[in-house]
Amino acid sequence: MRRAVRIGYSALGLLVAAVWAFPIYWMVSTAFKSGRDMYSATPQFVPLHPTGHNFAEVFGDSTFWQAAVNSLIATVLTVVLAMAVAFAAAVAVARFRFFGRRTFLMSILIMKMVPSIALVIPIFLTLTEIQDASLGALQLTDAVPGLVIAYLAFALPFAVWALRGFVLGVPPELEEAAMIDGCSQVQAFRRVTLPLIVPGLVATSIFTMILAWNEYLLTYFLISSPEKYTLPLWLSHFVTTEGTSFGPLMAGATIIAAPVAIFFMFVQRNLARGLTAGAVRG
Amino acid sequence: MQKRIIAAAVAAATLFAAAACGSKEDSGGGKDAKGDLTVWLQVDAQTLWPKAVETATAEFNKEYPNVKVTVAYQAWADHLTKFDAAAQGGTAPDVIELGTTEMGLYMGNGAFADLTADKGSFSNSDTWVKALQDSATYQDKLYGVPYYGGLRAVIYRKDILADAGVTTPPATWADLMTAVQKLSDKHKADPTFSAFFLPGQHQYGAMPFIYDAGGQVAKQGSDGKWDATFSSPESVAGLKTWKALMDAGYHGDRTINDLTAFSTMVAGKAAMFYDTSGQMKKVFGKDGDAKLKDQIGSFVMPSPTKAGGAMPAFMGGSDLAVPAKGKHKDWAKAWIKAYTSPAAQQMFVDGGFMANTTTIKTSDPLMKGYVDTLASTWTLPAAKNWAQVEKNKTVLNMFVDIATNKGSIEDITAAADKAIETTLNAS
Amino acid sequence: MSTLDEPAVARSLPAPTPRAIRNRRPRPRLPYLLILPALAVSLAVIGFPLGRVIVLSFQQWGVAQIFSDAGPPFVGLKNYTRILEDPVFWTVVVRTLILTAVMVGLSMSVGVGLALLMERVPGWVRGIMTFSLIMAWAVPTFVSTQIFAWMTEQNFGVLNYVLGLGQHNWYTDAKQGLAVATLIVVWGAVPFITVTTYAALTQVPAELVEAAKLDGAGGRQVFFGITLPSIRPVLVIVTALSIIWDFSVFNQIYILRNGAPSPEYQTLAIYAYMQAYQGHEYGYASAVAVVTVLLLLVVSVFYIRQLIKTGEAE
Repeated sequence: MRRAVRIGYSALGLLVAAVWAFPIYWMVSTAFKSGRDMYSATPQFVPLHPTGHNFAEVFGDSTFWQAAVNSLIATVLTVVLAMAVAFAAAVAVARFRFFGRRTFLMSILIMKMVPSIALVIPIFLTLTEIQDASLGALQLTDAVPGLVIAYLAFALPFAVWALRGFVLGVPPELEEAAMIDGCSQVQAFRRVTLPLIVPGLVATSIFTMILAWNEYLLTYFLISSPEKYTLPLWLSHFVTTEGTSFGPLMAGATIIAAPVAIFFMFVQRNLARGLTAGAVRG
Repeated sequence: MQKRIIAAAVAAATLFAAAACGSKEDSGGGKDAKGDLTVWLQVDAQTLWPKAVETATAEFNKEYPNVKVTVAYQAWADHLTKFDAAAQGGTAPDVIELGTTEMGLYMGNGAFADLTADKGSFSNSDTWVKALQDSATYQDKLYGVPYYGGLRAVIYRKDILADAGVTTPPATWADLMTAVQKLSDKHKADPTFSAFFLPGQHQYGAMPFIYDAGGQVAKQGSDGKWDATFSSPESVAGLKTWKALMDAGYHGDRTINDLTAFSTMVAGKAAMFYDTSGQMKKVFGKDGDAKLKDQIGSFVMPSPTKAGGAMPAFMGGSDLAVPAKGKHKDWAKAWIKAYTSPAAQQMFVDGGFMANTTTIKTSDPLMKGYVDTLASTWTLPAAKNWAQVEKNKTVLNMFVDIATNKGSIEDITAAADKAIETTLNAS
Repeated sequence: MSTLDEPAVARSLPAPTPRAIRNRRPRPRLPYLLILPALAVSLAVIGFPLGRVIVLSFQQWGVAQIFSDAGPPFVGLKNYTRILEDPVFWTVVVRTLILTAVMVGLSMSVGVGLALLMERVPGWVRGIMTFSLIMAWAVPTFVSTQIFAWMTEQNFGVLNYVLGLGQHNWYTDAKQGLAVATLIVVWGAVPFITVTTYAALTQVPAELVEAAKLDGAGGRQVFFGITLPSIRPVLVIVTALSIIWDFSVFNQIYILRNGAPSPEYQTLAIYAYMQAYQGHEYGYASAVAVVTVLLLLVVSVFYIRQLIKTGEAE
């Protein structure tokens, strides 16, 4: 009986994985199709005449590589900074009481509510002014550092709130217990709380990574020079007045999704229960 | 006291000198000119004719070797909003491409430099396509240089037509309807086959029927007020003919646009459709099937009202303008000159579009329908607010409502006219 | 093994008490230093521009103002009265609220359900599930929406083929079209909800669950007594974020309808985009944005109270 239930759960899990993967599969298989097969009247689940020319077109484009480098730099910096900045703020709001704490939490959540289309022009103008006021010392428009700061601001509301939730999820009693065992407060935090928060940090960093990696609208307004383009901006050139070139678009989207998969491979071990169980060792 | 006057004079002189230097740099010609020139083109140039851009910049740099040209490619979706933001932030480009229907709003608000006096210096300016020149003209002044044109004709698959017994492209409306009938009979068993691919969300497929029937989209009264005329008897008659062709020949989603027509033709499920030469080239281009190249042709859409006549086609396309706030207008004009040269125009034609002049015509037999249509074209009225009408999709939704039988043509167009007039006459 | 002080843990049920927070030695400067970077970035990039949006909402600002040398004139409440007097606006708001409720309800229940399922499957199945979910999450919505549009195409779509519906058109009737859009939104939102919720589930101390089971607690009791209180802070922020996202859903409808959604398809974000931004009326558009935030605050006020309270029971 128990065994049957477990097999049932596993089957359901695999079915779910298939449902969510199907559109992705369709994207990848389309990337390997020529126009003729892409639009055949009966859908081709497996490309009948697989072709690499969509990928060749993407890889042969010199601006693609420049965009990939820019995207990579901007995303890595955003994830690292966001995790540090948000974690610090999350610890502050979850573990300390201080004047203005609720106002801070409220206001960053309200910031998340403003439609981003309404913000892009004011953000562009504000960053231009800060840059001008710094006499160009701060490169905020048409520059990768500006993108990082902007992505950071868009990622922070969720990151702070979510990490606050994860910090709250660890009962302070666990830390206290460790302190009774002779740990200092810092040691207790590092040895007890931190390991329990690792899955939360991983989930939040996936969120931040995807946000930065896929951001289009704000990037479009902040970046002008082709050599500063990010991948989503680069991808948009397949959408022209005569419609969309779906072959290269799907190839490009597949390549853009791949680093997320790689990132996931690296972090997925940390997303599992068990690693942190019994965190306090004598 | 005297010291102060001298100090003030020195300060003033410094300012003037600075200003003089500044203006020298701005309008400076030739080899001494130094600085940056920013050009915003739409992504089409990046995809279809990157060589033309390179060549133009190289040509420009012969005259201005120390001016660095940066071409930034813009997506169609939000490029005007980005332009507004850049203009407000003082970083507007020196040259910008706009779709012909987007020009009115900016010309009417003084955004662009007046190029009337420079007209003669641009290549072929005395033979510019009238519809394109009209799109860049506001109150008799020229604010843009025609870049390229986009024209519509009927694209057909020879093999599918021949298979149904139609061996010569239809020359009259009656021929066309007969061909549609023959094709529909031949493919009766296939509910997904369209003799003529004609969905509702395609305004440039529908509007020509209005112009053909003697109607128009909107007209301006002597008081300057706009009157939308989709519900005029002529327009309604034209739309009824459009709907009749759709009912007879189209078996597909009526709520979509024309962009899947080419792929449906690639799949062998559409025999004809009415669209640009760019769409025709997609049928056998890298998004399509190269083997179909010999099976594709184009012909003039015959007029339903004038025997032997052609249906007047919408001439779309793009213009290049020089923002009034730009700092380097002379450089901008020089770059546009290089980019609209006859050699460049030839590349736009090779890319699948029409040249900005009637003197450059392609000899490609595939393009026959387009070349023949050049004689009868029209463009939308240069109303300051037409861009808004385009953006809030009133016209497209009106056509979809007619196509999906949401009401009578008279009622739907009357309601749309009211909404359009409100937009056109807003201050 | 664990040297946990079991009684202390037991006392912490069902929710952490604020006692520990009070026990901290007063170090008044530290929390401010910790939030300073987050605060500075948020204010510079969003807070200050948001102030501009509010000012703009009382001005007339469009192409005419941008390209003339005069600044935008203040027009008082004109932009706001224009919104309130537009009957279409209220229809759009009601449609948006209904869609948001359906989308959030569906994506939260499916998302949390899958997170619970992930706890109950072997590691390799969980790995496959997470991988597939994260890939779905990583694909930009404009690509995934396009793929769903293909799958629901009238003549050649996979969906009609699988369901045996012949040449059914999903878009002539806006209700069906919006159902497809809802499906795309749920498909896109579930990975985020599942991954985050699952991460929260891993935090639930195994010792507590075991202890409760030893005391004879059943599955439901364990879930409502231990699991739920523990993941509550994360669940509430995920819900709040889902409300914010679904309230401003755009791509999944706009692209599905080829960039020209008919009036029955318009949600608040689409309405604002088509009426205000594409019309270059940024003053009016800013007023719509401010009203959107106010509506969202009304809708989510319950959740925000919960958010602030969770973990801070007094």
